[in-house]
Parts: sequence; C-alpha cells; structure tokens
Amino acid sequence: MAKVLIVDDSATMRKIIMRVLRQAELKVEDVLEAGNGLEGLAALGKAPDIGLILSDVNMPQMNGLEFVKKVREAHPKEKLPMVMITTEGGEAMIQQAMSNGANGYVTKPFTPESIRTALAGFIG
Amino acid sequence: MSNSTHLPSREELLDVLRESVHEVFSSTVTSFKQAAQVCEQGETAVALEDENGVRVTASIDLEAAVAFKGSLSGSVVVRCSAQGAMDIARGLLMLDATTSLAVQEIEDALGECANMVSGVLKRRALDPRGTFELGLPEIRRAPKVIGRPGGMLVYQLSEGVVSMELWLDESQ
Repeated sequence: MAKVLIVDDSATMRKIIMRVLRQAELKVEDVLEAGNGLEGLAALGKAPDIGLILSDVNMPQMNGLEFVKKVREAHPKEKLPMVMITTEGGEAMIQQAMSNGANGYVTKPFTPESIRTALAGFIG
Repeated sequence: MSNSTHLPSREELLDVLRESVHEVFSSTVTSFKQAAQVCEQGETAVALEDENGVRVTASIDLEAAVAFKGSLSGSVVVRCSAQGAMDIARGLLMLDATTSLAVQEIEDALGECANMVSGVLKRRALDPRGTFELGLPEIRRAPKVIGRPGGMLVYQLSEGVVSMELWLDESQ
C-alpha cells in the first residue's frame, strides 16, 4: 500500500486522478494533494513516507519539470517513483521529464486502464 | 504534420481541433453532438440549428482560454452557456446530472477542459518537436475578442451548449 502525492494546479484534475486511482483498484493507502511544485516539495517534507508522486507539468510557481529535478536532489528514482500526468505529451517534453528524473508519464485525457498500466510497476 | 517547416492551415487546425475535442469529450462528457452553427465567432451568444432544423440560441456565460505560443500563436477558447459549463464539469468529475457544484469547481473544470483540448491540439497539430508553449487556463465571465477568429465548432451537450474556438494572434 502506497501513500500517493498528486501535484496539479487544477483541483478538478486532482479529484479526477483520485477517482481514477480508486477505479483502477490500485493499492493506495492515502492521497495527499498539492497545487504546484513548491507545495509538492513542502508536502514531501512533511510526509517523507510518500511512496509515489503523480505530477502535472504546466503549473504556476514551480512547474512539473523543475519539481522532478528538485525532488531528485534528495530522492533517487528507485526509491520514490514519479509519474508525470500531462496534456503536454510532446516528445521534447517527455525527454526533458525523463532526463530530469521522471519514471514515466501518462497523457491527459486518460482512462483508468491507462493509469493502471502506467502505475502497475510502482503500486500493485 | 510532422514536418517542422509546415504550419497547419486554418482547415487543418479546425480538423485537429475537432479530433481533439472528440478525444477529450469521449472520455469525459456523457453526451455531445456537433451542431451547425448559425453565428459568427466572437458574438456574445452562440446560435445553432439542432437536428430538426430548429434554431437554438445560448448566451455565453463563461469562457476558458489557453494561449499557445510558437511559430503559430493564439488561444484555444472554450465558451459555454452556464448549463454547458455545468455539463462539462459534471462530466469531467464523473458526477450525475443532479449533483450541484460550486462556481469555483465549474470554472476550474472548464479550465481543465480547455487545457486538455489545447494539449491534444498541441500534440497532434502544432508541436511534433516540442517548440510550442502552452499557457495556464484563464477564466472569464464575459466573452473577449483576443485576436482574429481561427474557427469555431459548436456542440450540443446534455443540456447546454459549448463553442470550441481557435483565436490567432493579430500578427499571424
């Protein structure tokens, strides 16, 4: 069972992701929310037992690409998986996210099946 | 459209906008049907003809815009009647037709809808090499002309109406 942090500036999208996580029947213990990368870092500081981060890319204050980079300064890829959930599925953005330390990505709009497939290796 | 030197024409953009809207609505909105618009882009109301040829007019009560910037610049704008915005928000949040929502929830959902449609448009038409930038959704309660019209598609939802529009910067 994993504690999941969802980072997205849209409260609607955070609710959708939570609902889809439930529908996908993934082993999620608890879900924390943050509205941008800065809030995400603060949430991670308060809850170091977070086991998976799902992050948007295009966000105010600190975007998802910077966020991944910052997280990786203290949390290696193997210990804390990060999956980008974004509308921006362009090749360059994906490459940038992966080189910054993301473990995977899902493009919006998504289905419970695509979320299950993307997260299966990280939470069962 | 994968050649970086080729900018999509207005017709190509509208085709991809249609595909983008269908991709987003298919997984979020329970009922949507493209209708024949009988109005001009930029008017404060949307007029359409339903399948029986009956003219329907809906005021634009809310709009969400996402700007795109690159070798082609402009905005994707989702313009709705109040009921249309409610239909979209309920669809995105997977709620039934009787669930009421706060204004902030509706606005946020409309912004996310614009975000997803512009993201798909960017992926499919504008950005094979990742050179386009998308802005954050901007919500407005009154329609605003933001450049020159690039095309519109009007949809009838369960109860409301939505106009999906492309606006191009004046310099384009």
